[in-house]
Amino acid sequence: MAPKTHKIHTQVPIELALTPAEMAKLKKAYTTSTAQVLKARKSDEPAPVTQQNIGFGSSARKRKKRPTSKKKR
Amino acid sequence: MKVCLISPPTVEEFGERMVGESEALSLIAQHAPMGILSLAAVLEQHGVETEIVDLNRLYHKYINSSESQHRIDFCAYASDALEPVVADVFGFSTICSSYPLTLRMARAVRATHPDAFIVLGGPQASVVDVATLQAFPNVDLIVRGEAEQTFPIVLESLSTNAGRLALINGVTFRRGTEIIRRPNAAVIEDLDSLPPPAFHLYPHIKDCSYAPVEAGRGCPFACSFCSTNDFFRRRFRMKSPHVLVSQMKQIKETYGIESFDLIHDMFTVDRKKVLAFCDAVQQSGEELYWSCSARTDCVDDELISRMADAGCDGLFFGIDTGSEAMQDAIQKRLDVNEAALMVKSANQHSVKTTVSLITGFPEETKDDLRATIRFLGDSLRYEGSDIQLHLLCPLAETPITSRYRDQLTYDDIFSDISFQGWEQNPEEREMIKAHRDLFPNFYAVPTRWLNRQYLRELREFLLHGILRHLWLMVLLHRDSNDLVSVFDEWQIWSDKERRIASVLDTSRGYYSNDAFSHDLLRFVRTSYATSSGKYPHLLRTMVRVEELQLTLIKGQPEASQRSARRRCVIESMETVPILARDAHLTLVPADYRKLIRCLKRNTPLDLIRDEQVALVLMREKDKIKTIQLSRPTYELMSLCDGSRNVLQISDDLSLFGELEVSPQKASIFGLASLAQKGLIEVRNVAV
Repeated sequence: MAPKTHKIHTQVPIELALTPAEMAKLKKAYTTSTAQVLKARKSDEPAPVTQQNIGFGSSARKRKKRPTSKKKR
Repeated sequence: MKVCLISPPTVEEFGERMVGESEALSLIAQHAPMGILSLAAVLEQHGVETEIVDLNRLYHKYINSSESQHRIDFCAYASDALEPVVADVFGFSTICSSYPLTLRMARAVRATHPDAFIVLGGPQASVVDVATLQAFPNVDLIVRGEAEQTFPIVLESLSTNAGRLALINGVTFRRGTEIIRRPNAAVIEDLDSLPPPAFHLYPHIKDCSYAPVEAGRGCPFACSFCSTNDFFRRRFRMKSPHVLVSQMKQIKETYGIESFDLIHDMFTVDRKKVLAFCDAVQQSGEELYWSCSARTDCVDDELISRMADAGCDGLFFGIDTGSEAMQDAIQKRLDVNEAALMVKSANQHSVKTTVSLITGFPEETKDDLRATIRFLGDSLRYEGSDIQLHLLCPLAETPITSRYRDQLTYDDIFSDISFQGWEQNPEEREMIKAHRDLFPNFYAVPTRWLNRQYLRELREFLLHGILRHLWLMVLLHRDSNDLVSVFDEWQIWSDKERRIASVLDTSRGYYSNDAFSHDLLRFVRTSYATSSGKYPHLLRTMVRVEELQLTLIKGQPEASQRSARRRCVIESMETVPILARDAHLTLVPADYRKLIRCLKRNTPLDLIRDEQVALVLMREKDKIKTIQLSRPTYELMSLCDGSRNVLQISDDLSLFGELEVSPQKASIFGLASLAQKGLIEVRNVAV
């Protein structure tokens, strides 16, 4: 029986279909890995507005940065 | 009797509209004014009609108004808003940073409501009561300390017999030319007896993403720079767990808010009470999320774990100084190593932390400063940490201010230790200069060993550096183990390289601008990495990535094109692949992924070799992705310059002999997967 082949996601001729061994080699060769994802700040972002938790009116400062996701408990 | 209660503005005089509209400001404006809402609830119990005016909300409206754009002063704008209010008593809550504005507003209200009685309360007026009444005749009376018991008695006296004012403890008032100061009132021992805040008087609560809930009052510690002791009298009190949880549940049911700020100067003083609260939250069966203040010597890993399990998602740690000597000097007396462990513990339990530090203490030496900045640097690697560095602010009647009362100077370097804007209104500046005792927080204590201008610029350098280039700052900290010395080098470099027409810009405006980013990256690349850097290849790698990230920030995201590209298909061998428009391909001299991992885990950097590594940086909507590429992926992407079609790329590929796969198959497979990931786009040739 002929080895099973994998058609890659293109519309080029079927003869380019890959054997599992070729597919494995190419997958190993063409790796990409995300090193970092940053939230893009606005250009020329204004100065950080920070306040100290000394005395009063401190609560709003504490809430300056809110977590964006909720933990599951 | 009708009373109008006015919250203290915690934002003011942000001179630029852009800043006024910033997320920080809008979040501050979202914060419900709990002090006056609590008092309003008590007044309602006494049958007093009460109106609430939230000056933060009003400021938010003002900053977007035509009046603001025409540079009309906020005081005039707010006074216009108060003019139609009908009330017998106007009660202003006060804090230090906006006290000049509050006093100006009191004068404006007196002009528009000559028969009204004007009362001040809150922390600032409570400690500068006599001086305020002496200097500002528009103020009739000051309620000192906790007002929930005193203020209703004051109102009753005003309705029936004003002569009885002289019998009420906790008030200071004017009788003719005489200032009468009654003894302090007792603190409220049973906080459970207080009604929940009158949120129904504050329609904006429905817009708030979180709600404040007062957990208790009084901090038993005696830090020399802190002002809360005068107000709450160091008498630690906490509401019962069932009362707190009941209030939180009620707010959630009524307004749909499930996130809470537990207001208490030091929530974690009594471990048993914190655990009882955690049990109550968990037994309630409700999803309730909350944050609080803590001292690092009043928590431990187990307690933080229990708190996290009960919904704690934020801890404020006032570490204040990284120097053991200064910990003693300011009577904070934290173990700095233990403090670092607690920051780590909180992050391990996914509890976001605020690490707050202060510089500019009178006894502080440069070595003390280095220790504080080292603590700051060590805390940077926790992604859940918000790092704060403040200049010391001499708050009224604190031990530190009393000690240096006669040596306070007005040097135009303002602390942001409380809420402080960028600009001071000229009229307010004159008030501040004329009344040092009333407004000491705008002054400076002498710093024998440290130059305040130096500290101001160091703070700008660090905070803006962290805001813009977090991982570069973490790397500089690891590389130097002394960000202060990096700053010293930066100053020397700036003096040579940044002067324009012999002027060196060190203003906040410069540091908050992209020009600082470009200069910082140039400084590290051309100076620090080559002269002082222990790991020059890591520094060059980081700078290269940060430079490309800066380029991508400048560009506009191309969301619509991105979705179109994802459908890209290689139709034939004539198809021409091109690097995606907002992708930047580069080679760096070290493994960037490994570098970031080492910085996050605080593992040794020595093992990261000097080797060429390929990266592509791309912008996707509001995110910038940095993707590390294998060498074949990089080779293939390098050929996607728009001058070659698939067939030509196959011919030019040099790497695939060793793979024993035909170059055509290898290139088509690679290109198809790159197209799927959005890293390339294709131009198909019509047949």
